[in-house]
Amino acid sequence: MKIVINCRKATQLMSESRERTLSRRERWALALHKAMCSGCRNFDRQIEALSDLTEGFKYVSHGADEKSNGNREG
Amino acid sequence: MSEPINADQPSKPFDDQHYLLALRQQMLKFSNLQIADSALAEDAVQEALMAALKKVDSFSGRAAFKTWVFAILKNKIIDILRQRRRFVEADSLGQTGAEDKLLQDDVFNAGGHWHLVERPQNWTEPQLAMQNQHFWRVFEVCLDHLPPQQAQIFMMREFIGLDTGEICASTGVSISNLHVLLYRARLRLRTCLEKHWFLKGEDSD
Repeated sequence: MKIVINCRKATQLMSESRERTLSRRERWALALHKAMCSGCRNFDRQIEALSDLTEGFKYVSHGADEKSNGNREG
Repeated sequence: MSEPINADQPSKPFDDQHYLLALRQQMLKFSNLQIADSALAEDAVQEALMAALKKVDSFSGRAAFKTWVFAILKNKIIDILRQRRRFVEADSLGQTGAEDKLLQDDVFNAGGHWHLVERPQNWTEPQLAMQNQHFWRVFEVCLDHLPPQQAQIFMMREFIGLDTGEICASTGVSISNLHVLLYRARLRLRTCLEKHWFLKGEDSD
């Protein structure tokens, strides 16, 4: 893999890093790219947020308001 | 294992018909995302609810009950998917490939860099959005707009929290296709959320 990668490749690696360990070369290429690209740095934070939001989606109620007792664990 | 009822404790989830109906709707929605056959999807929900209601007395809060009921549902769904593996396999990666090429052309230029207007922005305090009902409506719409197989795999990974081995085993999708599908789903979802929520500045409520 080339050490200089474009945003498409960088975002693919960011996504894959959530499921597998990247090779050393992939990590270098990604670090180099992120140092230069604010869009991809944002993308990385966004897919992290996406993960938290999807986890939070489990607790969303579309019916009764459960804010008042949502945190009770018994 | 039931515990004494505390006077200021909210009513059991069980006693509130509206709550149960809403919960059932959510479970159905989730189950349908995972299982293409709506009758089977409904069976899974029914079985999970019945199993959960048997133990309802051990839960005093709705959040705890809901976590648990979804845990049961998730296991029912996995069982069904394992049995119907071939069925899922028929839903090929190729079907949605062309569509996704379009999305990628929309956000990346020929050199593979972000189009200027598509460059991801800084999302301010995404966790605040979680407290906003409007946000969740947008989130759901974005989820509904994913191609079915992407939605299924993404939810197995991020909503149910299965590891990649389990997902490959229960759907028959190869590990490299799994990476591709998750990447596409994330790219789509973040694009949709940014466009319809985070750039609109409604997250501060």
